[in-house]
Amino acid sequence: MGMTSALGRLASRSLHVLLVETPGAFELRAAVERSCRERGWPLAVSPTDADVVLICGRDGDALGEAVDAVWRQVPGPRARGEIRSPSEVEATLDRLAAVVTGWRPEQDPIADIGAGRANDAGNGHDDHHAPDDGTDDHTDDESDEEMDMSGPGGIPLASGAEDRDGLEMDQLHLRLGPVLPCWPAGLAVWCSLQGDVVTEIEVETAPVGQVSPHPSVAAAVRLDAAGQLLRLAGADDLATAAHRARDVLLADPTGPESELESESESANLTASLRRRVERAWILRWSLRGLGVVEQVDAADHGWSPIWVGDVWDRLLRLLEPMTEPFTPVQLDEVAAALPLLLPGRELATARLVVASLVAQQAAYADVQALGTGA
Amino acid sequence: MLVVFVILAVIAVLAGAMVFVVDSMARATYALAVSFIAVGVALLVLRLEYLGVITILMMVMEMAIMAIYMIMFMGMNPALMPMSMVHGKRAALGAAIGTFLLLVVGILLVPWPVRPEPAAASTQELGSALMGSKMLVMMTVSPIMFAAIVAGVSLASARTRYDRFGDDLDHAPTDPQPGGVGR
Amino acid sequence: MGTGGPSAALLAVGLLALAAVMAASAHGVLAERASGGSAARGLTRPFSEAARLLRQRRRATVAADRLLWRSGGAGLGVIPLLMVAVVPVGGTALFDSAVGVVWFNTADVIVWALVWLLGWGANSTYGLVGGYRFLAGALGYELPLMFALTAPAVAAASLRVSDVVAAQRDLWFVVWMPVAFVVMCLGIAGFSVWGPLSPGAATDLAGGVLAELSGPDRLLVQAGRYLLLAAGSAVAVCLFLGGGSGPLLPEGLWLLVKTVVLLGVLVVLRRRLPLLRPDRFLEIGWLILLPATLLQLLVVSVVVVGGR
Repeated sequence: MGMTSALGRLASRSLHVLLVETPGAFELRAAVERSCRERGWPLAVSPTDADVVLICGRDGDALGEAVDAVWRQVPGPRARGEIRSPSEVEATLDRLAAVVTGWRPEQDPIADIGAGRANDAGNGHDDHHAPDDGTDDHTDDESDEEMDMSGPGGIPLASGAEDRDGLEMDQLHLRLGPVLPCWPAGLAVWCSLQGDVVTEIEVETAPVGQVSPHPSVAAAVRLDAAGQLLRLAGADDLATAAHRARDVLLADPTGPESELESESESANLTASLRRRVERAWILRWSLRGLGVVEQVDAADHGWSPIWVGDVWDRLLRLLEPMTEPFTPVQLDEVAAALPLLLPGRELATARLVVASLVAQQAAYADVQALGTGA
Repeated sequence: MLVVFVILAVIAVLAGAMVFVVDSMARATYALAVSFIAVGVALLVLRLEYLGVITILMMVMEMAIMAIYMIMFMGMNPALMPMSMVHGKRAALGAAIGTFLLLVVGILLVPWPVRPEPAAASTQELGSALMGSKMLVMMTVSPIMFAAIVAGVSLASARTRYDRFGDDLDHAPTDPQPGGVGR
Repeated sequence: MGTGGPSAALLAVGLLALAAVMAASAHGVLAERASGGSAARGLTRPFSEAARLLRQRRRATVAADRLLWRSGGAGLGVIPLLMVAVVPVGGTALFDSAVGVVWFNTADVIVWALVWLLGWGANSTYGLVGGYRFLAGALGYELPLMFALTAPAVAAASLRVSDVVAAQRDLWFVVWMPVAFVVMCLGIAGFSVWGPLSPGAATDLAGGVLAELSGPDRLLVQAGRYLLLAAGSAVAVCLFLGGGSGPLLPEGLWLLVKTVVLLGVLVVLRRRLPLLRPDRFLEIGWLILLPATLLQLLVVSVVVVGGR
């Protein structure tokens, strides 16, 4: 018993937290992320990796379903909670940590761990077809080319389609979002995959909540997006630096003076971060040429000219000093552009592209000068 | 030693048979890998260290690559779908029995050389054989095999170099996914 | 050169585990420093993570191929032990094979199969994509690694690791085989599925082959990755950094010190590098690293033949 509780106490020093941001709850999520970082709690990269599932903001109906699906994949010891205001953060995290530490398997039985339907969000076997229970007799030859049979576990078999080289290949279906780390809140993308290449997508967006129009919040949104992009690219230290600069901006202002101070401190942090990113030539090599938006295409489709260039250009633009007035790119604009940008890309590249499109400012003073970069 | 060898031989044969018994392509692939590993370890027991280790290396790598081809060429989702690993039973059975008989007859009829001394430096002997008396064969075989691989790949590819580099081969390549050396 | 008994085996495994934990702790400290936390918390990070995973329930997925899934994970715990078996500690190796270098190469190739099985067995899209992505990355580092391993063997005129160590009595091989050494370090990160060369288990794939692993299974794989890193470093020390040779201290201690220093360098580099995705890295591997290692091999061969 003493051994078990000692293990629990030790384990509670690095709880992995899966954050669910409801639209409009950006500041809240940032506050929770900051607190987690200060506690040394890593952010989970998948539901299986999580101990704590924490919903920031109101638990919308559509999201509630997705959260339930994610919750079923959390192995446990586990705890689930909701935060509605920044003042609750510390207390809620303490409470959830206590739940995880005192957790007993018999109190939280999951009969369907592994037995349930596999089409939970994030698990990736989602298919638009309903499973049929045709029994299949696989006897001798290649005569069984019928694709729509139901396999074991009630999962419909993958159907085939021509791949980008014109060969027939299996299609898998995967839903990205709405609950996915380093992914914009309120966005869900149904992908058809062949191997790891995205072939077709359908995009769903949730109604966007309002983020505070305060300029320091707007700047924080961009730093946050840069941090998520850096994290996806595997540049963990740079990502942490971006998020620390974001948290300085969002730090509770006790007066106008301290706000000014935190803004200038954050501006310094951002400038030094930008220098570090510009010097990271391997990062540049890995992001160059991804998700290229040509100037003509942007004009044709009526996209924000701020997207012109590749993922690297857009990352640098996120780290530039903000021009006034800030009008962020709307999620609907991103959703409209994705069907043209994602198909043909690898799954990982697609995620980098999505991360690079959000939180850009639409009204950019001199896009021509930015061009497509060197 | 004999006991170990016999155990390994039995594992090799059983794992080889499992290839046709199991109902998933992944399991069949790795049953074959286990069979080859047992053969490799048996060679180690026979003190043919280099051959044993290299057998394991080549075969495991080959099975991993085979898994890639499995996805590339199978129009099915083999992870989920139990499927028979046997196709064209009769011809295959005939070919297998024929090959087996041929090999057994060969083993029994060939006058095996008696080894003059223990193979202390078997790796070295193998090396000098390859680089000495068998040099001509090796030098001929490897370019032919390499040419066959290159020809196979270019025949199978839908896009030719003219699609990639333009009619005069002077454009930057138009690839669906840009590569890493910035061509 | 002799072959060690059970006590030597225990010692070697213990030292390997120690080096692996030190690497994991060092990584924890650097990560904590980046986020402004305390070094102590980073130092104990491997232990709190291990405790966390020991408490965690094992997760199963629908229609998983458990046999293949679990053997992938278990194998990753065994391979590093096979690797250190050929490392000579104080004059004896557990298995002082005449073909030790090839043995090590074989062990790292088996990782190909294991990581793919780990991704396949879970029957999840992220795992599957991760497994294939690992293989794509492996095609980039493995061939250069194979040629890089040949260089010290050619110079020592032996595939026996202890002979390679003995051949460096006057001059460490790293001095005149820098390219092979750098490729070896890339290869170590590659077969450890670690850091910049872990495209199969990366954040952009929600953990890839790790995406569905939980509890003791995940602990085994995570520990296996650090053990592989430590075992690979120990072999790299033997092949390029003179093995256990050094003044004053006993041979075993020098080997440990050098291994830990090399691990430290790898950990520091890991924090500075982004992910080398296979779509980019494959061309680097085949168009730059492979010719470079072949040139390195040519130089080594010319020196060896000329020196006779």
